[in-house]
Amino acid sequence: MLNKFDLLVPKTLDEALQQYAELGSKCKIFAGGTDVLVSMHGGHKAYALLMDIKNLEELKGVEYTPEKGIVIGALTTHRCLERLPAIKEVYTALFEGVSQVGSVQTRNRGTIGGNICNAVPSGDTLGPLLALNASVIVQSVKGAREIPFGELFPGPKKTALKEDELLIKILIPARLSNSASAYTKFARRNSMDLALLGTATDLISNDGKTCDNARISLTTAAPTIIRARKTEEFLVGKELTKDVMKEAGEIASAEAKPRSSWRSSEEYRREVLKAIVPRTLAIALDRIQKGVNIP
Amino acid sequence: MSASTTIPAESLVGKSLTRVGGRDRVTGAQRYIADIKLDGALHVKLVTLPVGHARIISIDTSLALQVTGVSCVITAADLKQPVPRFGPSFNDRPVLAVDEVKYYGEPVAAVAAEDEDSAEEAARLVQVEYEELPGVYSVERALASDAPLVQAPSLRGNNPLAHTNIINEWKLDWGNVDTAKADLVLENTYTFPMISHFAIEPFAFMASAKDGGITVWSPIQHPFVMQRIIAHVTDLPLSAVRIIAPDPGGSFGGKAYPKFEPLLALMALKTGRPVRLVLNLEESFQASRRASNQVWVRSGFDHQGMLVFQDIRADFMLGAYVDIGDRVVSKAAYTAAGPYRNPNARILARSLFSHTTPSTAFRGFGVPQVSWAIESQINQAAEKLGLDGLEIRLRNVAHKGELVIPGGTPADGHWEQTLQKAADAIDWGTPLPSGRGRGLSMGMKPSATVLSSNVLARLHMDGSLSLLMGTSDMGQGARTVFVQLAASELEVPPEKVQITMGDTSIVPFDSSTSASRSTVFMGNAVRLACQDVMRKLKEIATEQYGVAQGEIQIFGGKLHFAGRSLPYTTVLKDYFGPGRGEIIGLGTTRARFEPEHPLGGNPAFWELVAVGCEAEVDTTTGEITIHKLATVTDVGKAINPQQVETQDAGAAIMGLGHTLMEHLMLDDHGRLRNAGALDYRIPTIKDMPGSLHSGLVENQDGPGPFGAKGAGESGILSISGAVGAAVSQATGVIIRDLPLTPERVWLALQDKANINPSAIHSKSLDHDSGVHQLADGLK
Repeated sequence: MLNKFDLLVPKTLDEALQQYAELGSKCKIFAGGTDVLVSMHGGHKAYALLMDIKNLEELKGVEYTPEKGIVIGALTTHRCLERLPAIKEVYTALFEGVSQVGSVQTRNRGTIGGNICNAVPSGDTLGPLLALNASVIVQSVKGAREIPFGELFPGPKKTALKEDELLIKILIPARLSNSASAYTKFARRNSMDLALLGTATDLISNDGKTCDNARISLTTAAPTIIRARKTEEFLVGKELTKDVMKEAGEIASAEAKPRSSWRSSEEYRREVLKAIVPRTLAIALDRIQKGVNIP
Repeated sequence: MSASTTIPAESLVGKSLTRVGGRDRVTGAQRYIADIKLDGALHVKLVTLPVGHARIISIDTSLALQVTGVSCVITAADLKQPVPRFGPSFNDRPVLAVDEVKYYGEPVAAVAAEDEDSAEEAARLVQVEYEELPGVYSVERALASDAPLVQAPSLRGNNPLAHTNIINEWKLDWGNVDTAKADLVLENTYTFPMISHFAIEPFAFMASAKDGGITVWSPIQHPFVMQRIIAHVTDLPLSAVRIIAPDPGGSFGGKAYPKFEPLLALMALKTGRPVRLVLNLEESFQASRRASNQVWVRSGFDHQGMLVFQDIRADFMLGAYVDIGDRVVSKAAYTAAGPYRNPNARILARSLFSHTTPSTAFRGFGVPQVSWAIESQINQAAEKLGLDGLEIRLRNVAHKGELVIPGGTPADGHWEQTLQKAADAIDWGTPLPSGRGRGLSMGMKPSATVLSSNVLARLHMDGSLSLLMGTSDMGQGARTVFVQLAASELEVPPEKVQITMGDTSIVPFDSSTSASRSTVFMGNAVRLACQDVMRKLKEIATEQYGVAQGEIQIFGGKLHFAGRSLPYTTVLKDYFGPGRGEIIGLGTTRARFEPEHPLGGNPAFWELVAVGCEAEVDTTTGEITIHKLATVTDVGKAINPQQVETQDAGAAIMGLGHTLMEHLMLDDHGRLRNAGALDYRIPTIKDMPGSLHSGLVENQDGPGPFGAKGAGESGILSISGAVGAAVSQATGVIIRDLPLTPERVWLALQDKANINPSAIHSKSLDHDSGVHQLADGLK
């Protein structure tokens, strides 16, 4: 049963920010509704006041230039992103994230900004964005500020946004030459599922063999998405042989903090990390070698 | 039964006509119960407890009654005493919980209000004081000597098992298992999990009392079973009970038998208002399920792989009330040894009570649960004896006319053809890519026994035809098949045939839409009804035109006699006068009741399937990829081949679900952990095998129209055995518990690696937990 609630439907960003400044945490923001409304229908949440921001034109649209990178409006749907050549061909890890959210129907409703603000450790866009060195622009009546993705999630289901701030857009830097990215979602079925685990890699290799730099993120491997920093450090300067990638998987597995639940044991989750981190590294390296995924 | 099996050249039989009603189904135009609004209806919400077993101390409805819009809150105390109990085979289930809650989801009270939200709000305000009691949530607990009795012995009459949790014991015994000499004996235990039907249409019910009678709306598979049970709980005659059953949005057995319709009927009578109850998905999970089971089996083979004996003990965990569960167990027991020549067999299948949702009919009706064990045994025997899954089955499968069960229905098809086709479909015997394995299995299910079906065929004055019948079309395409049969019998265009189903006040009696029986039994009845129409056409032509009946021929939609050819319309007009009459034909089929037979009679046919699977296993994560899956079914004759193939494919995918991912999980309080679409996973379109093949064997040797046999369930019967064998060949490990989740496969691989790290790809499977005796000659 959906509880009774009041609904605000601001027509402009200014109007939304004004209202949000007055109401703050009393007001729950939603866009596609694929998380907020679902949790209310399921009786898990009972918000008394909702603000539907999906009509804010200022938060829509995507701008991409190979030199500057990509700017994604927070209200861009997963489906829209997955159909953009720039996402599929250039920010491949993000493509692999957005195209694996729920089903086509949920991707038509759900937005990238909503996925970020929901802040669950299994969010399919979060790991790719962290690996791709994204940041977000948030805005309140007092002004706008930029938050690097690595500082965005102070805890499970929490973001660094203040009570009056809305997520406006996502910035991902321009791609470097000889780099490629990849995201692996490990789930029990191939759609309509949450990541039991996931990992994204953004790899630079100028000779197509050696790791010059790697940014690796882990999904559902800790209370929030995390960088696998020890794994990254281990990889720099090394030739990406099978053995090296295997060892990277072991390091990532060791630095992750998965927990046991009735859904899966910690032991198994660590084992899966050992498998998917090398798998994802190999995919990224293969893309570099084949010259795909490069602007 | 219909006589001719010759199919006329122009017949629609064997053609893939477009699904009747299919467009409405896929566009959302079809109206399901939840779409039907009754004026002035009260909305019902059930009050349940967050435990599987509890003693009800008190129920306080005062707060709930204060909610605006609430009409009443009904508890067991408000109903006539003793509270009516019902069930398809035993009257053991109370319409509301009496004294105890015996499963998670059993209603202790029902709120009726003017709107859904008020009902839900009030339901939350009903204060139930209860004491949680120890529950029976597993086979082991059900059989433990200190386990609580789920059902009061007083309800079980003189049953000698009344003081146990054993509902019934089904025993079959032939030959002598104890003295039979085998070269290889395999003894193992297998488990099969609880499964949800997960029909896309959740349960929804309505009831309205008027003019001394009661009308109940339900997406029920068997409207006439419902009518009987509603009459029983309301003490009304059958003629005063009307069941309206719109085409269900999927059922798979889950909607075969009454759930909350008896409660709704009593509430409608009590309030004098129509009432409606629509369950959400989570509540639907709590309302029906498939029985889990545990099968201990000892199988004996000679050194050539011939079956010497099967010694089988299967324990099925039913729920708190019997529902149709004991019948499921009886049928599972009956075919437990499979479609093979078994010289010696001893089968004991027990149905057990537990404090869980009553298990009910589910596509396959008990067969998938035992087939998993038996087919796995045969695959392991093949491996140990240096045979393969095809060869060992070719040696043992019953040939047409041979008995598989003494005194039973003999093998009614060339089953070796079915097996060979399944093997061919997955390129059996060709080199296998590394990391992959192949497996075969067979499944056999007893079809319908004691039953009857009726069809009224009304040939209207304009030459169009109405058929009235009690079959439910829940997605299997029954309407299409009957249109094809009637149109071809009377040679009228199929678009001029309309079918009315699902209203017991309009359509004549039909036992059920179950056991894959409708095409055979209702199909024959359709033909007989059409033949009755033709007989009556000849009768009136004789009277009208003074021609001898023997001189009249009917073909091409016309009566031919004495050089004249008259369409049906002319004959009707000449006989009755313009616009003054029609002809009504009746078709009836019956299968005899044999009280001494364990199933009430011998099955009219066997549903027989062979399955082939090629799978790959990622040994690092335990993930299984199904590259090829083929089911081949002996259908006798496919009236509509596309429908048979897609239905088989659907069943195969459903089988992949319980093989790879589906299982209902309980917590320590007997609550479902994973009710709902996210944590209870069914395969999606993206989980389909690389190739999915549905093959048919059509020798026109069945008892149905043109030699048809039923085919609604075959595809699901033995998917697990074939997948399990493929996984076993790919990895060298044998897993005996379903589903084969990645984590379970990975764990098995870890165990294997710890025992013998080098044996992963070795030919011999020494990982058996069971007895292993090979004759000297084999070494």
